[in-house]
Amino acid sequence: MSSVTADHVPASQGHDDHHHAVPHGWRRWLFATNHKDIGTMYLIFSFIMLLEGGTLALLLRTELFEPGLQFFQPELFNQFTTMHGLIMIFGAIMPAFVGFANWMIPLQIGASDMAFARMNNFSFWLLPVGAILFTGSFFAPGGATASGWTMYAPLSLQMGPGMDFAIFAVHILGASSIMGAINIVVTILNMRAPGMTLMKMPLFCWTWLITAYLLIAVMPVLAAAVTMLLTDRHFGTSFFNAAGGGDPVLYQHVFWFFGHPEVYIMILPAFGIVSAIVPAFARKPLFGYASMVYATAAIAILSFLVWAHHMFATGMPVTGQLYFMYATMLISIPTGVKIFNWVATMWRGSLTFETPMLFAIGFIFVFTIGGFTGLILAVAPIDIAVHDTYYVVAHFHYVLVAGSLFALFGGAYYWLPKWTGRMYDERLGKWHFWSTMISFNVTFFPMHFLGLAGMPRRYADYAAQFTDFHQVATIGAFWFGLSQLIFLYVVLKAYSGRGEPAPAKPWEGAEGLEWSVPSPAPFHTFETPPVVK
Amino acid sequence: MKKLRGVLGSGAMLMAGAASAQVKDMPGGPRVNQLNLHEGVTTISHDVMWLHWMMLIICTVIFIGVFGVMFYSILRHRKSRGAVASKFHEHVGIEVAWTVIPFIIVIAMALPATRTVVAMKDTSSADLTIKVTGYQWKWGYEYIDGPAQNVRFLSNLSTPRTQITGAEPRGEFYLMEVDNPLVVPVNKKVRLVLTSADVIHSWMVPDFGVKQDAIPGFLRDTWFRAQKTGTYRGQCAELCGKDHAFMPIVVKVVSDEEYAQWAADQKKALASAADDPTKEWTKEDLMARGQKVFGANCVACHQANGKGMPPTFPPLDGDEKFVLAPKKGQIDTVLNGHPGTAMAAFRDQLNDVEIASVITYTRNAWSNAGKGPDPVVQPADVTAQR
Amino acid sequence: MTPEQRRRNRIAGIILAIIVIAIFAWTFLRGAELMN
Repeated sequence: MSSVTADHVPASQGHDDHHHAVPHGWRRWLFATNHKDIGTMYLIFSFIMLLEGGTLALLLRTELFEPGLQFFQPELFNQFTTMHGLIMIFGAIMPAFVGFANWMIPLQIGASDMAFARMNNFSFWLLPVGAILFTGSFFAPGGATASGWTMYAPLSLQMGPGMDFAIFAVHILGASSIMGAINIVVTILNMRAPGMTLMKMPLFCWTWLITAYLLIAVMPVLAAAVTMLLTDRHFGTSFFNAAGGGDPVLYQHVFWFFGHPEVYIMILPAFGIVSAIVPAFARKPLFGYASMVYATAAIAILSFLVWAHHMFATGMPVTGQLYFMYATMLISIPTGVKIFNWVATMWRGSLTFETPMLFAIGFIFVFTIGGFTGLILAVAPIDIAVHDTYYVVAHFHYVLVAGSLFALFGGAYYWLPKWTGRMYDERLGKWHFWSTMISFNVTFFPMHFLGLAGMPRRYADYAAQFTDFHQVATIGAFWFGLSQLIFLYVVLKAYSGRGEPAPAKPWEGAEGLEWSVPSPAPFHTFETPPVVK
Repeated sequence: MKKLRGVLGSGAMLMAGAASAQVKDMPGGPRVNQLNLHEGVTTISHDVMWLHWMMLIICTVIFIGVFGVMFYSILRHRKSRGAVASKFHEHVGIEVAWTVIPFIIVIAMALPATRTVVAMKDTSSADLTIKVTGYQWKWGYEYIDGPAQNVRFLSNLSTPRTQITGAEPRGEFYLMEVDNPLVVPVNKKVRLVLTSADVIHSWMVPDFGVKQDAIPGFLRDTWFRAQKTGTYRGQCAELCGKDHAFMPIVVKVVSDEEYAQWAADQKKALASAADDPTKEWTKEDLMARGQKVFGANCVACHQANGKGMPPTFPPLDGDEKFVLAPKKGQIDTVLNGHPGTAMAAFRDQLNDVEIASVITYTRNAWSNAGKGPDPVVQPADVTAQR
Repeated sequence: MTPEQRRRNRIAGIILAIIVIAIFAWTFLRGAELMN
């Protein structure tokens, strides 16, 4: 990407129709239309959800420390497993990336705000409603749904009212995502500063543009799928009931048509963040900007064509198994290209290893492991052996935690000076990184072995031969959970104003329009669009 | 952290208590701290092992290559070592190469995999066909042909609940043992036709390299040819409700002679135990039989003390809606279940004698004796309502 | 934002919203079609 220089950097002066004083008090937040405020709220919300989802994980890992049932009955255990997944995906990871999008996209393209500022407010405030439904479902008669986050029929048709709570939460959170995605597409397409062509945009904006299209395409499909569950449960339809002419596997097709692009929705913005951090700390331009854009687009398009690799054990005809195996293996190519490009960016750079760079490098290292296990899972005969075992659990935690979450942490450290005006505590940041990195691997690496040996998923109890690896995983999980309190402390410390004041561009090698405004970024920025050369 | 580990560790010691004599590898099941797939006893399981090694080795080589370069860069291209950044940011030749070469590698991986996919799906020319039905929470087997034709039985987890709660030490085959295993002859192609009576289950036996979802209302099939005699163990591999972890699979692979003998024994037992639904049973016989049926089919939800786990699993002790009410309602409930709840229909799982006896049992057990109408239900009553 | 930008934003937003609703409806209808 050619370096972008801003010709005219405005101070935060007023601009015709909407100049007003910065709002204060609770009104500022409830009626927020400012992308920075809304971004901040998204990030706070998602961190709270991360802690809630994490607590659920620690509860179930506690039960799994020993064979036998010590603390929870299996019904409750599966409520924990299910809600851990739903809350992490829809409450933590997706809103966190939207928070980053809100904060950084207008700054990076030189826009004063998002295209639909009021809809942006609504998108955010839907989230606590959805979260209350998820959390509240534990208190419904019979408890939260215990169907797994995938909510397969017909099991989900048997569940109590907790399932309906979850369905409504998914509707609400899905609506929020769709509105956010529309906002992002229109903002990026229509509101770039003059001279900021698409191929000059930071890669983070590209990855979010493509992700937003994925969201628009597949969130309605999920909404339909859970609505079909709702009507099967209460309104006499039998979409997924053979006795009524339907098919349980239809649910899986509809769900995974959403579900596979969904995992790319959760990783593409992470690719964008890493693509910002690595060049900054290598002091070298991103290698192969154009290829990175094409690779991202290729991954997105391919993601629509591979959904049934989640269904290899359902009894597909041979042609289906083969097609989905080949298509899935193909996605590893553009993904590999991206990894090579990041390494090539580092090659012959001038590297320093502040916390954002540690997380970015950690991401590349550990996400690649997850990518390899994904390629192994793509091989259908191997998948038949390890489908629905801990091997899959290991795979997706490697790509979602060591992938998405590490990128989110890296981006948070990278942009925290811009958000707070303070340099965060670098020593603590490094502690957070190493503690997280090591405990993550302690937790999830043994799960590969458990899965290969045949330990199934969503099991509250297990054969004694699996005990040691489960104990290691549980210890790692607690260590991982506690490590995140370091991050909380670092963020709170920076927000409370303790730390070196941050310059506009605290990172020597950083590029992008966001570094041309002061730190912390003023309430209004780019009221007059900068001219980009 | 150390303290927490200590607390957890000593908690573990307490729990394990008398239970942990040294845990040994489970014959036919997982080895202690097993790292890899099961080598298994079928060509398919061997193929899968081979494929996995191939993938693992290729991925490891690529991993070492890529991260060797990256770690070299981390060490040598540091600013603190005085490295000055280059400016290059593209190179068409390299980019084409690292797109095309992985593409070729992926194709090379897909070729042997294709052979195995095709082989796994070829269920033709089977020597023996068995119908497998998934239930919440047990498996049912029915032999469709061969010497054991028409033999059918249910296969329940046989690990006692007391071992699961920790009241007793865990047995050698904890969670992977059943009352009635599937019995098949060695070196014969066995075709399994699977379905489910309620939700999706999945029949998995790692030593065979087999996993197939059992889907209600549909038939799926898979096959295996076991090359060595022995007992092989697997588990349900699709979340199916509360006892998903408690419905294992055990397959005994025996010689042809042993199989023929077993088949003959099964048929004889079927014939003699053929429950005669027309005769009049005594209350004592019904109660005795009913208690056994209750233990194998109803305790998971309604509990051994009949108190259930309301609101999801209603109590039977003192229940006025069905148990201490005219028999028609309870017979209908057991036969047909309550759609939309966890109460399954037992009409295809239990015969009239079993249903009549378990209903009679509930009507007289716990505090129910002497209360309510129709304390005894005969098999003929059940037949009449089918 | 200039009025022209607002106008273009509104049009783009409406088009995307229509696409979303269409996909939702299609999924339902296709699912119903597949029943026998």
